[in-house]
Amino acid sequence: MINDITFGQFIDTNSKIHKLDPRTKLLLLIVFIVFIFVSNNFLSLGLTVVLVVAAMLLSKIPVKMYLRNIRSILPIIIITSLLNMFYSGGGKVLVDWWIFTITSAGISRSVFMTLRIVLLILISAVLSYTTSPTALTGAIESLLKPLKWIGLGNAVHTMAMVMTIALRFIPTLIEETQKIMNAQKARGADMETGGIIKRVKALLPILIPLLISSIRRAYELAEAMECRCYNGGTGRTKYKLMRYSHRDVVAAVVSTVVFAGVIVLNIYSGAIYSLIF
Amino acid sequence: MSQIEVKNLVYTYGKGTPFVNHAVNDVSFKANGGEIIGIIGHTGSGKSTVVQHLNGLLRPESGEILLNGKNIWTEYEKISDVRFKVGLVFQYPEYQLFEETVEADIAFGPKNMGLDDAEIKRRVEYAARLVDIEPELLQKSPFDLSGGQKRRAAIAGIIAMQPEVLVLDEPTAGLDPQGRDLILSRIDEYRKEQNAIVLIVSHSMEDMAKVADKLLVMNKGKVEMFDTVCNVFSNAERLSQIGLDIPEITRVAIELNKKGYDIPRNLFTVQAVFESVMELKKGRCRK
Repeated sequence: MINDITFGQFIDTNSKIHKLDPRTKLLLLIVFIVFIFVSNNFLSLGLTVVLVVAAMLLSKIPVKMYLRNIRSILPIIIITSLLNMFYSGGGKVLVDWWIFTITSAGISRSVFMTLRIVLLILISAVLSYTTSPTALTGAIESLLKPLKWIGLGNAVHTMAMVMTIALRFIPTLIEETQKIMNAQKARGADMETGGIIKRVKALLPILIPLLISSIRRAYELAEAMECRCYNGGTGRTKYKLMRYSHRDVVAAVVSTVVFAGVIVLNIYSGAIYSLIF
Repeated sequence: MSQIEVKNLVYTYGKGTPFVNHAVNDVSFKANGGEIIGIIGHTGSGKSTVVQHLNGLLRPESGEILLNGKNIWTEYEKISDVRFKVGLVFQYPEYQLFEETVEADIAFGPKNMGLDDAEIKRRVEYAARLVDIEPELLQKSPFDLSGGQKRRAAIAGIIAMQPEVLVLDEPTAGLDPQGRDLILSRIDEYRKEQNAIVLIVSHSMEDMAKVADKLLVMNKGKVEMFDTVCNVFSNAERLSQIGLDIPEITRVAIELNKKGYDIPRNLFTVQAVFESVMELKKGRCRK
Protein backbone atom coordinates (compact mmCIF):
# COMPACT_ATOMS: atom_id res chain seq x y z
CA MET A 1 0.00 0.00 0.00
CA ILE A 2 1.12 3.48 -0.84
CA ASN A 3 0.61 4.93 2.66
CA ASP A 4 3.07 2.46 4.15
CA ILE A 5 5.91 4.46 2.62
CA THR A 6 7.42 6.53 5.36
CA PHE A 7 9.54 9.30 4.05
CA GLY A 8 12.70 10.35 5.77
CA GLN A 9 13.78 8.07 8.56
CA PHE A 10 14.11 10.59 11.34
CA ILE A 11 13.30 9.05 14.75
CA ASP A 12 13.55 11.48 17.63
CA THR A 13 15.11 9.78 20.67
CA ASN A 14 16.86 12.98 21.71
CA SER A 15 20.18 11.19 22.17
CA LYS A 16 23.68 12.65 22.25
CA ILE A 17 23.97 12.05 18.53
CA HIS A 18 20.68 13.85 17.92
CA LYS A 19 21.99 16.88 19.76
CA LEU A 20 25.07 17.20 17.57
CA ASP A 21 25.03 20.04 15.09
CA PRO A 22 23.76 18.70 11.75
CA ARG A 23 26.80 20.27 10.05
CA THR A 24 29.13 18.26 12.26
CA LYS A 25 27.22 15.09 11.49
CA LEU A 26 27.26 15.74 7.75
CA LEU A 27 30.98 16.53 7.66
CA LEU A 28 31.86 13.57 9.88
CA LEU A 29 29.77 11.30 7.66
CA ILE A 30 31.85 12.33 4.65
CA VAL A 31 35.08 11.80 6.60
CA PHE A 32 33.83 8.40 7.87
CA ILE A 33 33.09 7.25 4.35
CA VAL A 34 36.54 8.29 3.21
CA PHE A 35 38.13 6.40 6.08
CA ILE A 36 36.08 3.27 5.49
CA PHE A 37 37.80 3.16 2.10
CA VAL A 38 41.17 4.26 3.43
CA SER A 39 41.28 1.30 5.83
CA ASN A 40 43.14 -1.35 3.86
CA ASN A 41 43.35 -4.20 6.38
CA PHE A 42 41.21 -5.88 9.00
CA LEU A 43 42.89 -4.12 11.92
CA SER A 44 42.24 -0.57 10.75
CA LEU A 45 38.78 -1.49 9.49
CA GLY A 46 38.13 -3.01 12.91
CA LEU A 47 38.79 0.35 14.48
CA THR A 48 36.25 1.99 12.15
CA VAL A 49 33.76 -0.75 13.11
CA VAL A 50 34.21 0.19 16.78
CA LEU A 51 33.45 3.83 16.01
CA VAL A 52 30.38 3.03 13.90
CA VAL A 53 28.98 0.64 16.51
CA ALA A 54 29.58 3.25 19.20
CA ALA A 55 27.70 5.85 17.17
CA MET A 56 24.84 3.38 16.63
CA LEU A 57 24.55 2.62 20.34
CA LEU A 58 24.79 6.30 21.30
CA SER A 59 21.92 7.13 18.93
CA LYS A 60 19.49 5.08 21.11
CA ILE A 61 17.77 3.87 17.94
CA PRO A 62 16.79 0.18 18.22
CA VAL A 63 19.33 -2.06 16.47
CA LYS A 64 16.38 -3.67 14.70
CA MET A 65 15.90 -0.45 12.71
CA TYR A 66 19.50 -0.56 11.52
CA LEU A 67 19.19 -4.21 10.52
CA ARG A 68 16.12 -3.31 8.46
CA ASN A 69 18.34 -0.96 6.45
CA ILE A 70 20.83 -3.70 5.73
CA ARG A 71 18.09 -6.14 4.78
CA SER A 72 16.84 -3.82 2.07
CA ILE A 73 20.17 -3.89 0.24
CA LEU A 74 20.94 -7.54 0.96
CA PRO A 75 20.91 -8.52 -2.74
CA ILE A 76 23.65 -5.97 -3.51
CA ILE A 77 25.74 -7.21 -0.61
CA ILE A 78 25.39 -10.83 -1.72
CA ILE A 79 26.30 -10.08 -5.33
CA THR A 80 29.39 -8.06 -4.35
CA SER A 81 30.62 -10.68 -1.94
CA LEU A 82 30.14 -13.47 -4.50
CA LEU A 83 31.92 -11.52 -7.25
CA ASN A 84 34.83 -10.77 -4.90
CA MET A 85 35.02 -14.37 -3.79
CA PHE A 86 35.28 -15.77 -7.30
CA TYR A 87 37.30 -13.10 -9.02
CA SER A 88 40.17 -12.39 -6.68
CA GLY A 89 43.07 -14.77 -6.94
CA GLY A 90 46.05 -15.49 -4.67
CA GLY A 91 46.39 -17.47 -1.49
CA LYS A 92 45.59 -21.08 -0.89
CA VAL A 93 43.10 -22.73 -3.26
CA LEU A 94 40.21 -24.07 -1.19
CA VAL A 95 37.69 -25.16 -3.80
CA ASP A 96 38.32 -25.82 -7.47
CA TRP A 97 35.24 -27.02 -9.29
CA TRP A 98 34.41 -26.47 -12.99
CA ILE A 99 34.88 -22.71 -13.61
CA PHE A 100 34.69 -21.80 -9.93
CA THR A 101 37.82 -21.36 -7.90
CA ILE A 102 37.66 -20.16 -4.32
CA THR A 103 40.89 -19.12 -2.66
CA SER A 104 41.61 -18.03 0.89
CA ALA A 105 42.47 -14.55 -0.41
CA GLY A 106 39.16 -14.48 -2.23
CA ILE A 107 37.21 -15.25 0.93
CA SER A 108 39.09 -12.72 2.99
CA ARG A 109 38.56 -10.09 0.31
CA SER A 110 34.86 -10.85 0.05
CA VAL A 111 34.40 -10.55 3.82
CA PHE A 112 36.36 -7.29 3.74
CA MET A 113 34.21 -5.77 0.99
CA THR A 114 30.98 -6.89 2.63
CA LEU A 115 32.07 -5.30 5.87
CA ARG A 116 32.83 -2.05 4.05
CA ILE A 117 29.37 -1.90 2.43
CA VAL A 118 27.62 -2.73 5.70
CA LEU A 119 29.58 -0.01 7.50
CA LEU A 120 28.69 2.47 4.79
CA ILE A 121 24.98 1.70 5.15
CA LEU A 122 25.07 1.79 8.93
CA ILE A 123 26.88 5.10 9.25
CA SER A 124 24.59 6.76 6.69
CA ALA A 125 21.63 5.34 8.62
CA VAL A 126 22.96 6.93 11.81
CA LEU A 127 22.77 10.30 10.07
CA SER A 128 19.30 9.83 8.59
CA TYR A 129 17.84 8.41 11.81
CA THR A 130 19.17 11.22 13.96
CA THR A 131 18.79 14.25 11.70
CA SER A 132 15.50 15.62 10.39
CA PRO A 133 15.39 16.39 6.65
CA THR A 134 15.00 20.10 7.37
CA ALA A 135 18.03 20.15 9.65
CA LEU A 136 19.97 18.39 6.92
CA THR A 137 19.08 20.91 4.23
CA GLY A 138 19.89 23.67 6.70
CA ALA A 139 23.30 22.10 7.21
CA ILE A 140 23.91 21.85 3.47
CA GLU A 141 22.93 25.48 3.02
CA SER A 142 25.21 26.56 5.84
CA LEU A 143 28.16 24.50 4.64
CA LEU A 144 27.83 25.83 1.09
CA LYS A 145 27.76 29.43 2.31
CA PRO A 146 31.35 30.15 1.17
CA LEU A 147 30.02 29.86 -2.41
CA LYS A 148 28.70 33.41 -2.01
CA TRP A 149 32.25 34.63 -2.54
CA ILE A 150 31.96 33.50 -6.13
CA GLY A 151 28.49 35.07 -6.49
CA LEU A 152 26.44 31.93 -5.87
CA GLY A 153 25.00 32.98 -2.49
CA ASN A 154 21.39 33.29 -3.65
CA ALA A 155 21.63 30.11 -5.71
CA VAL A 156 22.63 28.16 -2.60
CA HIS A 157 19.69 29.56 -0.65
CA THR A 158 17.30 28.83 -3.51
CA MET A 159 18.48 25.24 -3.82
CA ALA A 160 18.12 24.70 -0.08
CA MET A 161 14.62 26.21 -0.14
CA VAL A 162 13.64 24.00 -3.10
CA MET A 163 14.87 20.93 -1.24
CA THR A 164 13.05 21.86 1.96
CA ILE A 165 9.79 22.48 0.13
CA ALA A 166 10.14 19.27 -1.89
CA LEU A 167 10.69 17.23 1.28
CA ARG A 168 7.79 18.94 2.99
CA PHE A 169 5.36 18.13 0.19
CA ILE A 170 6.18 14.49 -0.40
CA PRO A 171 3.73 13.21 2.24
CA THR A 172 1.09 15.65 0.97
CA LEU A 173 1.51 14.38 -2.58
CA ILE A 174 1.30 10.76 -1.47
CA GLU A 175 -1.94 11.50 0.33
CA GLU A 176 -3.29 13.36 -2.69
CA THR A 177 -2.37 10.49 -5.02
CA GLN A 178 -4.19 8.06 -2.77
CA LYS A 179 -7.28 10.26 -2.79
CA ILE A 180 -7.35 10.65 -6.56
CA MET A 181 -6.77 6.93 -7.06
CA ASN A 182 -9.70 6.13 -4.80
CA ALA A 183 -11.89 8.65 -6.57
CA GLN A 184 -11.13 7.18 -10.00
CA LYS A 185 -11.53 3.65 -8.68
CA ALA A 186 -14.96 4.71 -7.48
CA ARG A 187 -15.73 5.47 -11.14
CA GLY A 188 -14.58 2.00 -12.11
CA ALA A 189 -11.04 2.85 -13.19
CA ASP A 190 -9.04 -0.36 -13.45
CA MET A 191 -5.34 0.04 -12.76
CA GLU A 192 -4.38 -3.52 -12.03
CA THR A 193 -5.14 -5.52 -15.16
CA GLY A 194 -4.37 -5.33 -18.88
CA GLY A 195 -1.29 -4.93 -21.06
CA ILE A 196 1.33 -2.26 -20.70
CA ILE A 197 -0.34 0.29 -23.01
CA LYS A 198 -3.65 -0.14 -21.21
CA ARG A 199 -1.96 0.35 -17.87
CA VAL A 200 -0.12 3.48 -18.94
CA LYS A 201 -3.41 4.86 -20.25
CA ALA A 202 -5.04 3.98 -16.96
CA LEU A 203 -2.53 6.24 -15.21
CA LEU A 204 -3.72 9.37 -17.04
CA PRO A 205 -6.85 9.88 -14.90
CA ILE A 206 -4.51 10.00 -11.90
CA LEU A 207 -1.54 11.89 -13.30
CA ILE A 208 -3.48 14.77 -14.85
CA PRO A 209 -5.39 15.79 -11.70
CA LEU A 210 -2.23 15.28 -9.66
CA LEU A 211 -0.22 17.55 -11.94
CA ILE A 212 -2.91 20.21 -11.96
CA SER A 213 -3.27 20.23 -8.21
CA SER A 214 0.51 20.38 -7.76
CA ILE A 215 0.72 23.46 -9.97
CA ARG A 216 -2.21 25.03 -8.15
CA ARG A 217 -0.54 24.26 -4.83
CA ALA A 218 2.74 25.76 -6.03
CA TYR A 219 1.03 29.02 -6.96
CA GLU A 220 -0.77 29.14 -3.63
CA LEU A 221 2.42 28.48 -1.71
CA ALA A 222 4.31 31.14 -3.68
CA GLU A 223 1.59 33.67 -2.94
CA ALA A 224 1.53 32.76 0.74
CA MET A 225 5.31 33.17 0.91
CA GLU A 226 5.19 36.53 -0.83
CA CYS A 227 2.44 37.66 1.54
CA ARG A 228 4.92 37.05 4.33
CA CYS A 229 7.51 39.16 2.54
CA TYR A 230 9.71 36.32 1.34
CA ASN A 231 12.09 37.64 -1.28
CA GLY A 232 14.93 35.20 -1.40
CA GLY A 233 17.79 34.58 0.94
CA THR A 234 19.26 38.06 1.36
CA GLY A 235 18.88 39.40 4.85
CA ARG A 236 16.79 36.44 5.98
CA THR A 237 17.40 35.28 9.52
CA LYS A 238 16.82 31.81 10.89
CA TYR A 239 14.32 30.63 13.49
CA LYS A 240 16.47 27.67 14.45
CA LEU A 241 20.06 28.81 14.77
CA MET A 242 22.74 26.19 14.34
CA ARG A 243 25.47 26.49 16.92
CA TYR A 244 28.50 24.32 17.52
CA SER A 245 28.73 23.21 21.13
CA HIS A 246 31.17 21.24 23.29
CA ARG A 247 29.51 18.06 22.01
CA ASP A 248 30.67 18.82 18.49
CA VAL A 249 34.19 19.36 19.73
CA VAL A 250 34.12 15.99 21.54
CA ALA A 251 32.77 14.24 18.44
CA ALA A 252 35.44 15.83 16.25
CA VAL A 253 38.27 14.98 18.65
CA VAL A 254 37.16 11.35 19.11
CA SER A 255 36.83 10.91 15.36
CA THR A 256 40.24 12.47 14.74
CA VAL A 257 41.88 10.14 17.25
CA VAL A 258 40.22 7.11 15.68
CA PHE A 259 41.22 8.20 12.19
CA ALA A 260 44.79 8.77 13.30
CA GLY A 261 44.64 5.21 14.64
CA VAL A 262 43.37 3.97 11.29
CA ILE A 263 46.31 5.55 9.49
CA VAL A 264 48.80 4.13 11.98
CA LEU A 265 47.28 0.66 11.70
CA ASN A 266 47.33 0.96 7.90
CA ILE A 267 51.06 1.63 7.92
CA TYR A 268 52.16 -0.78 10.64
CA SER A 269 49.65 -3.59 10.06
CA GLY A 270 52.37 -5.82 8.61
CA ALA A 271 54.56 -5.40 11.68
CA ILE A 272 51.64 -5.98 14.08
CA TYR A 273 50.55 -9.12 12.20
CA SER A 274 54.07 -10.58 12.40
CA LEU A 275 54.22 -9.68 16.09
CA ILE A 276 51.02 -11.60 16.83
CA PHE A 277 51.48 -14.59 14.52
CA MET B 1 -36.32 -1.83 -3.76
CA SER B 2 -32.63 -1.34 -3.10
CA GLN B 3 -31.29 -1.82 0.34
CA ILE B 4 -27.88 -1.41 1.89
CA GLU B 5 -26.98 -2.73 5.29
CA VAL B 6 -23.82 -2.34 7.34
CA LYS B 7 -23.38 -5.02 9.98
CA ASN B 8 -20.94 -4.77 12.90
CA LEU B 9 -18.31 -3.03 10.78
CA VAL B 10 -14.84 -2.78 12.33
CA TYR B 11 -11.82 -1.15 10.72
CA THR B 12 -8.44 -0.20 12.15
CA TYR B 13 -5.81 1.96 10.49
CA GLY B 14 -2.13 1.19 10.95
CA LYS B 15 -2.62 -2.26 12.41
CA GLY B 16 0.59 -3.65 13.84
CA THR B 17 2.33 -0.25 14.00
CA PRO B 18 2.63 2.20 16.90
CA PHE B 19 0.00 4.35 15.17
CA VAL B 20 -3.03 2.08 15.65
CA ASN B 21 -6.28 3.97 15.15
CA HIS B 22 -9.61 2.22 15.66
CA ALA B 23 -11.37 4.32 13.05
CA VAL B 24 -14.61 2.34 13.02
CA ASN B 25 -15.73 0.10 15.84
CA ASP B 26 -18.88 -2.00 15.55
CA VAL B 27 -21.01 0.18 13.27
CA SER B 28 -24.36 -1.09 12.05
CA PHE B 29 -27.18 0.58 10.13
CA LYS B 30 -29.60 -0.03 7.32
CA ALA B 31 -30.95 2.18 4.54
CA ASN B 32 -33.74 1.62 2.00
CA GLY B 33 -34.45 2.99 -1.47
CA GLY B 34 -35.84 6.52 -1.50
CA GLU B 35 -34.24 7.50 1.80
CA ILE B 36 -31.73 10.26 2.36
CA ILE B 37 -29.48 9.48 5.30
CA GLY B 38 -27.25 12.21 6.71
CA ILE B 39 -24.04 11.06 8.36
CA ILE B 40 -22.82 13.58 10.90
CA GLY B 41 -20.02 13.51 13.43
CA HIS B 42 -17.01 15.39 14.66
CA THR B 43 -13.78 15.34 12.60
CA GLY B 44 -12.15 11.93 13.04
CA SER B 45 -15.36 10.20 14.13
CA GLY B 46 -15.03 7.63 11.33
CA LYS B 47 -17.58 8.98 8.84
CA SER B 48 -15.31 8.90 5.81
CA THR B 49 -14.00 5.45 6.74
CA VAL B 50 -17.53 4.01 6.90
CA VAL B 51 -18.35 5.62 3.58
CA GLN B 52 -15.32 4.08 1.85
CA HIS B 53 -16.46 0.62 2.89
CA LEU B 54 -19.82 0.97 1.15
CA ASN B 55 -18.35 0.61 -2.36
CA GLY B 56 -15.52 -1.71 -1.41
CA LEU B 57 -12.63 0.76 -1.46
CA LEU B 58 -11.79 -0.48 2.02
CA ARG B 59 -12.27 -4.04 3.08
CA PRO B 60 -13.82 -4.55 6.53
CA GLU B 61 -11.61 -6.02 9.19
CA SER B 62 -14.70 -7.73 10.51
CA GLY B 63 -18.40 -7.31 9.88
CA GLU B 64 -20.04 -7.07 6.49
CA ILE B 65 -21.64 -4.76 3.95
CA LEU B 66 -24.82 -6.17 2.45
CA LEU B 67 -26.09 -4.69 -0.82
CA ASN B 68 -29.61 -5.97 -1.49
CA GLY B 69 -28.99 -8.72 1.02
CA LYS B 70 -25.73 -9.92 -0.52
CA ASN B 71 -22.29 -9.45 1.04
CA ILE B 72 -20.30 -7.32 -1.44
CA TRP B 73 -17.09 -9.27 -0.71
CA THR B 74 -18.41 -12.79 -1.42
CA GLU B 75 -17.24 -12.50 -5.02
CA TYR B 76 -13.94 -10.71 -4.84
CA GLU B 77 -13.55 -10.27 -8.63
CA LYS B 78 -16.91 -8.52 -8.92
CA ILE B 79 -16.04 -5.67 -6.59
CA SER B 80 -15.97 -3.24 -9.54
CA ASP B 81 -19.65 -4.05 -10.20
CA VAL B 82 -20.32 -2.97 -6.64
CA ARG B 83 -18.58 0.33 -7.36
CA PHE B 84 -21.01 0.97 -10.24
CA LYS B 85 -24.00 0.21 -8.01
CA VAL B 86 -22.74 2.27 -5.07
CA GLY B 87 -21.56 5.60 -6.48
CA LEU B 88 -19.19 7.45 -4.18
CA VAL B 89 -18.55 11.18 -4.60
CA PHE B 90 -15.46 12.21 -2.66
CA GLN B 91 -14.81 15.52 -0.94
CA TYR B 92 -13.92 18.26 -3.44
CA PRO B 93 -14.63 15.94 -6.39
CA GLU B 94 -13.76 18.73 -8.85
CA TYR B 95 -10.07 18.03 -8.27
CA GLN B 96 -10.51 14.67 -9.96
CA LEU B 97 -11.68 16.03 -13.30
CA PHE B 98 -9.16 15.14 -15.99
CA GLU B 99 -10.68 14.76 -19.45
CA GLU B 100 -10.52 17.25 -22.30
CA THR B 101 -14.24 17.96 -22.29
CA VAL B 102 -16.91 17.89 -19.62
CA GLU B 103 -18.77 15.33 -21.71
CA ALA B 104 -15.81 12.95 -21.83
CA ASP B 105 -15.27 13.31 -18.11
CA ILE B 106 -18.85 12.48 -17.24
CA ALA B 107 -18.61 9.53 -19.65
CA PHE B 108 -15.58 8.04 -17.84
CA GLY B 109 -17.65 5.99 -15.41
CA PRO B 110 -20.23 4.66 -17.90
CA LYS B 111 -17.35 3.77 -20.27
CA ASN B 112 -15.69 1.73 -17.56
CA MET B 113 -18.99 -0.08 -17.14
CA GLY B 114 -18.65 -1.28 -20.73
CA LEU B 115 -21.88 0.27 -22.01
CA ASP B 116 -22.43 0.90 -25.73
CA ASP B 117 -21.97 4.39 -27.18
CA ALA B 118 -25.67 5.19 -27.48
CA GLU B 119 -26.30 4.28 -23.84
CA ILE B 120 -23.24 6.26 -22.71
CA LYS B 121 -24.51 9.32 -24.57
CA ARG B 122 -27.97 8.92 -23.10
CA ARG B 123 -26.56 8.66 -19.59
CA VAL B 124 -24.23 11.63 -19.98
CA GLU B 125 -27.14 13.76 -21.17
CA TYR B 126 -29.33 12.51 -18.34
CA ALA B 127 -26.70 13.23 -15.68
CA ALA B 128 -25.85 16.66 -17.11
CA ARG B 129 -29.51 17.65 -17.26
CA LEU B 130 -30.09 16.39 -13.72
CA VAL B 131 -27.29 18.47 -12.20
CA ASP B 132 -28.14 21.55 -14.31
CA ILE B 133 -25.13 21.54 -16.63
CA GLU B 134 -26.26 23.25 -19.84
CA PRO B 135 -25.68 21.26 -23.07
CA GLU B 136 -23.29 23.93 -24.44
CA LEU B 137 -21.00 23.41 -21.45
CA LEU B 138 -20.51 19.75 -22.34
CA GLN B 139 -17.97 20.53 -25.07
CA LYS B 140 -15.94 22.87 -22.85
CA SER B 141 -12.86 21.92 -20.91
CA PRO B 142 -13.79 21.09 -17.32
CA PHE B 143 -11.09 23.53 -16.20
CA ASP B 144 -12.97 26.45 -17.79
CA LEU B 145 -16.03 25.97 -15.58
CA SER B 146 -16.81 27.92 -12.44
CA GLY B 147 -16.31 26.30 -9.02
CA GLY B 148 -19.95 25.32 -8.58
CA GLN B 149 -20.21 24.04 -12.15
CA LYS B 150 -17.08 21.93 -11.71
CA ARG B 151 -18.52 20.40 -8.56
CA ARG B 152 -21.78 19.58 -10.34
CA ALA B 153 -19.94 18.16 -13.36
CA ALA B 154 -17.95 15.88 -11.05
CA ILE B 155 -21.12 14.71 -9.32
CA ALA B 156 -22.65 14.10 -12.77
CA GLY B 157 -19.72 11.74 -13.42
CA ILE B 158 -21.03 9.49 -10.66
CA ILE B 159 -24.72 9.99 -11.40
CA ALA B 160 -24.10 8.91 -15.02
CA MET B 161 -23.38 5.43 -13.66
CA GLN B 162 -26.94 5.53 -12.26
CA PRO B 163 -25.98 3.94 -8.95
CA GLU B 164 -28.64 2.46 -6.70
CA VAL B 165 -26.83 3.98 -3.75
CA LEU B 166 -25.40 7.49 -4.08
CA VAL B 167 -22.89 8.41 -1.39
CA LEU B 168 -21.55 11.96 -1.12
CA ASP B 169 -18.78 13.11 1.21
CA GLU B 170 -19.31 16.81 2.05
CA PRO B 171 -20.91 17.67 -1.30
CA THR B 172 -21.53 21.31 -0.38
CA ALA B 173 -18.21 22.17 1.31
CA GLY B 174 -16.78 25.50 0.17
CA LEU B 175 -19.76 26.54 -1.97
CA ASP B 176 -21.85 29.70 -1.67
CA PRO B 177 -25.41 29.34 -0.29
CA GLN B 178 -26.91 29.35 -3.77
CA GLY B 179 -24.58 26.66 -5.05
CA ARG B 180 -25.26 24.65 -1.91
CA ASP B 181 -29.02 24.73 -2.33
CA LEU B 182 -28.71 23.86 -6.00
CA ILE B 183 -26.61 20.77 -5.32
CA LEU B 184 -28.85 19.59 -2.49
CA SER B 185 -31.97 19.98 -4.61
CA ARG B 186 -30.29 18.09 -7.49
CA ILE B 187 -29.36 15.23 -5.18
CA ASP B 188 -32.94 15.12 -3.89
CA GLU B 189 -34.15 15.05 -7.49
CA TYR B 190 -31.96 12.03 -8.25
CA ARG B 191 -33.31 10.23 -5.19
CA LYS B 192 -36.88 10.80 -6.38
CA GLU B 193 -36.31 9.84 -10.02
CA GLN B 194 -34.33 6.66 -9.34
CA ASN B 195 -35.81 5.80 -5.94
CA ALA B 196 -32.16 5.61 -4.90
CA ILE B 197 -30.62 5.46 -1.47
CA VAL B 198 -28.66 8.65 -0.77
CA LEU B 199 -26.10 8.99 2.00
CA ILE B 200 -24.60 12.41 2.66
CA VAL B 201 -21.68 13.06 4.96
CA SER B 202 -21.95 16.63 6.19
CA HIS B 203 -20.90 19.14 8.79
CA SER B 204 -23.80 21.43 8.05
CA MET B 205 -26.75 20.78 10.33
CA GLU B 206 -28.78 23.28 8.29
CA ASP B 207 -28.23 21.23 5.13
CA MET B 208 -29.13 18.04 6.91
CA ALA B 209 -32.30 19.56 8.34
CA LYS B 210 -33.29 20.53 4.81
CA VAL B 211 -32.81 17.23 2.97
CA ALA B 212 -32.23 14.27 5.27
CA ASP B 213 -34.90 11.82 6.41
CA LYS B 214 -32.72 10.15 9.01
CA LEU B 215 -29.43 11.00 10.67
CA LEU B 216 -26.59 8.67 11.57
CA VAL B 217 -24.61 10.38 14.32
CA MET B 218 -21.10 9.04 14.77
CA ASN B 219 -18.77 9.56 17.70
CA LYS B 220 -15.30 8.06 18.12
CA GLY B 221 -15.88 5.28 15.61
CA LYS B 222 -19.25 4.22 17.03
CA VAL B 223 -22.87 4.97 16.18
CA GLU B 224 -24.16 7.47 18.72
CA MET B 225 -27.68 7.77 17.32
CA PHE B 226 -29.51 6.56 14.25
CA ASP B 227 -32.91 8.17 14.14
CA THR B 228 -35.18 10.64 12.38
CA VAL B 229 -33.90 14.20 12.02
CA CYS B 230 -36.56 15.35 14.48
CA ASN B 231 -35.51 12.93 17.22
CA VAL B 232 -31.81 13.57 16.74
CA PHE B 233 -32.05 17.34 16.91
CA SER B 234 -34.29 17.23 19.98
CA ASN B 235 -31.31 15.71 21.76
CA ALA B 236 -29.34 18.96 21.63
CA GLU B 237 -27.39 18.41 24.87
CA ARG B 238 -25.95 15.07 23.82
CA LEU B 239 -25.05 16.49 20.40
CA SER B 240 -23.08 19.36 21.88
CA GLN B 241 -21.30 16.94 24.24
CA ILE B 242 -19.85 15.13 21.25
CA GLY B 243 -18.87 18.37 19.53
CA LEU B 244 -21.89 18.76 17.25
CA ASP B 245 -24.48 21.45 16.87
CA ILE B 246 -28.14 21.82 16.12
CA PRO B 247 -29.37 24.15 13.34
CA GLU B 248 -29.27 27.79 14.38
CA ILE B 249 -32.97 28.24 13.80
CA THR B 250 -33.70 25.34 16.19
CA ARG B 251 -31.72 27.16 18.85
CA VAL B 252 -33.88 30.26 18.22
CA ALA B 253 -37.02 28.14 18.67
CA ILE B 254 -35.69 26.60 21.89
CA GLU B 255 -34.78 30.01 23.31
CA LEU B 256 -38.26 31.40 22.47
CA ASN B 257 -39.78 28.36 24.09
CA LYS B 258 -37.74 28.94 27.25
CA LYS B 259 -38.94 32.55 27.36
CA GLY B 260 -42.47 31.19 27.59
CA TYR B 261 -43.67 31.54 23.99
CA ASP B 262 -45.72 28.66 22.73
CA ILE B 263 -43.29 27.45 20.07
CA PRO B 264 -42.30 23.80 19.78
CA ARG B 265 -38.63 22.97 20.45
CA ASN B 266 -38.26 20.55 17.58
CA LEU B 267 -38.39 22.84 14.56
CA PHE B 268 -35.37 22.98 12.32
CA THR B 269 -36.25 24.90 9.21
CA VAL B 270 -36.69 28.64 8.99
CA GLN B 271 -40.04 28.04 7.29
CA ALA B 272 -41.39 25.95 10.18
CA VAL B 273 -40.35 28.45 12.82
CA PHE B 274 -41.76 31.29 10.73
CA GLU B 275 -45.14 29.55 10.43
CA SER B 276 -45.26 28.81 14.10
CA VAL B 277 -44.42 32.39 15.02
CA MET B 278 -47.11 33.66 12.63
CA GLU B 279 -49.61 31.24 14.18
CA LEU B 280 -48.76 32.66 17.58
CA LYS B 281 -49.17 36.22 16.35
CA LYS B 282 -52.55 35.44 14.80
CA GLY B 283 -53.71 34.05 18.12
CA ARG B 284 -52.67 37.25 19.86
CA CYS B 285 -54.52 39.46 17.39
CA ARG B 286 -57.71 37.52 17.96
CA LYS B 287 -57.59 38.23 21.65
